Amino acid sequence: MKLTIRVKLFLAFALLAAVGASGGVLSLLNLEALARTYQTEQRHVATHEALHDDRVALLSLPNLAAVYDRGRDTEVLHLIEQRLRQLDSSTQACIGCHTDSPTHVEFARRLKELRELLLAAPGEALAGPPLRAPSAQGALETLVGALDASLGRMEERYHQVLGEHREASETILEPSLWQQLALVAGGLVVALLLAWLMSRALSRPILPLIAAARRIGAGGVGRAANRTGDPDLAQVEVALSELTTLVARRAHEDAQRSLLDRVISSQEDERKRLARELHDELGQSLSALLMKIRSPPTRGAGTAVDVMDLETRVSRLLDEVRRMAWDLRPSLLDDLGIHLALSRLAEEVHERYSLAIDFQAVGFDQGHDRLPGRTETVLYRVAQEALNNVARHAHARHVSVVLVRQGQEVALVVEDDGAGFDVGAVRRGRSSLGVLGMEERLALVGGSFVLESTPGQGTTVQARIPLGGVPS
Amino acid sequence: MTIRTLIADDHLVFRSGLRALLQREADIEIVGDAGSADEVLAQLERTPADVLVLDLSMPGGLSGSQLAESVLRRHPRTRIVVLTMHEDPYYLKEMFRVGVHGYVLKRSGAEDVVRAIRAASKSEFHVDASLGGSAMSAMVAPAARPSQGRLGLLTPREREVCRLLALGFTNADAGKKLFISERTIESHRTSIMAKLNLKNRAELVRFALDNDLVR
Repeated sequence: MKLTIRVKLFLAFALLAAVGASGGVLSLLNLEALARTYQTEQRHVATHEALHDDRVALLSLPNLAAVYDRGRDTEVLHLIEQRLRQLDSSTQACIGCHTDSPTHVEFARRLKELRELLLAAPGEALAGPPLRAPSAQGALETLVGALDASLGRMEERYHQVLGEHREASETILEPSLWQQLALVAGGLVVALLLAWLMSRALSRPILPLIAAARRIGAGGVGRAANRTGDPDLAQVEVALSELTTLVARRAHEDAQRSLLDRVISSQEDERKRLARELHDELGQSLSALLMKIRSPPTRGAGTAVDVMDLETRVSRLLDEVRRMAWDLRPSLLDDLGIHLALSRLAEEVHERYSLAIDFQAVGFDQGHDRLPGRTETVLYRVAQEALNNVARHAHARHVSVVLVRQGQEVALVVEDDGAGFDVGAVRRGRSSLGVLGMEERLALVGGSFVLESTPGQGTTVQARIPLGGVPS
Repeated sequence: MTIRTLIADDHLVFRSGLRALLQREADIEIVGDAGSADEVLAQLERTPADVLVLDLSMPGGLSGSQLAESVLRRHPRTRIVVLTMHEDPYYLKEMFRVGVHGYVLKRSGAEDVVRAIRAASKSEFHVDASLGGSAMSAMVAPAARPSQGRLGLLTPREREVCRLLALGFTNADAGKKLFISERTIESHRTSIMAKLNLKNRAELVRFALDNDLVR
């Protein structure tokens, strides 16, 4: 399948829009998660700070020294101190880190150990020999109580930290695959719609150009209508218009050239024919005449006979010359005008082909108003060609030649009731040369040519030529 | 009193030959000769002539008949004798329509020209003897209007179609003009031709002219 510009544009826009849309949707979601994570982190940091305070508080508790001071250095107290230090380092590590779970786990384990130890401590520590001073005894109990309370708080904080970690990791967790797919699909639909609209909007102004181009292609000459305000497209339209003009001019030039070719070749043919006639007929006759003049006169009363013979020959020659001149160009056309020339032409064709030709002119007051010379020549030649065609092909019973001058136009109609023909077939065929010739002659004087014919129903040839200047 | 004569022909040899022939005649006085239409008009302005012997095919802007017309318009007293090689009755008819008094062929003898000049000077007509028959047929006036009065046979629509066809419209154009189909025009036309017993379009045009459908 071939991709049209429209489709390509559509695909390009669709792709861009899809990528953009899905990326946008995802980043929006992420942004929200990020915001939530940030809030969690804020709280987390606060918790860690609190934990730090707890640790400081734990370390600043009444010194264990007071207990040692009694001189009863029990193993339990050693153990407690040792655990306390361990817990401290673990807490420090825990505060320093936010997400590292092994550290947290370690912290929790230490916390639990210390707690258990503490719970067991007062009993064991007090089970030994009595303390030296009741105050020491009291101090120990207070210490254990404070430691316990502090540890309880720390445990609480620890759970809070864990919870917050869980929350944060849940928030950061990306939406599910289905969610993502649905989002991308939704984005895609919107994107396709946008892309379709865009490509349509872009390609719509091209459509009149296409129509214009098609019109020109079909042979019509027209301007691409500037319907869009788009400067780029306006330039394309200008270019198209120029192309139209160019094509029209080329076509015109071609037509002119082919007409010129034909005129030249027909001129050459005519000259050839004329040269042959001059040589064969006039030349022969003149040679014979010359011979006659040179030959010695016949004796007796011959001279008068000779002169008469010569006169006959010269007279015949004169007829010959006159006929040739007439064939070249009927002097009647120049001397008396088109309507008399056509009337004479109708007679001639009648005599030559014994074809009934009826001529009628309208709007010619006996030759007072002459038409422009070129117009008269064209009308005469068109009539000549049309009548020749009728005589050769039509087998007509009646032929009309009508010349009408009406207003600013002169019309010539040559009509017969003969065989008729298929106009399309004749125009396509080689025999259309005569028709083309008539059309071209008329085109040269701005006239028009109509050929109407139906097999079996005769033929009508119509030529119309506008007459310039003021109305008569 | 002599007949003042002006000779107009573009061939110098022919002109001087004719002059020599005509000068033999006592009653003819050659007042000048001219080789073009302009010269003819200029000569006549200077020297009035009774008779102008005119060749029809001279170079210049005016055709023979146009020159004859303008001579007769400016010098109504001058008579024209056409001396030409055109034997075509169309020329003959046209020149007499314009108002010449003589028509002589160049192939005829000098005496024919002399006879024509003398006739023209008396405002009489002379046509070359060899043209007799064709001259007569050309000069016969056109027949009276036999078709007049039959217009009533046509319906108003048919009259309109008849008028358009007489003006040289094709069936298709007439149909477009009257907002009906080409086929309808054709059937109107068949009906018109049958009613008026016409054979072809030229006869139809004549009918339209005779009945003032066109002018």
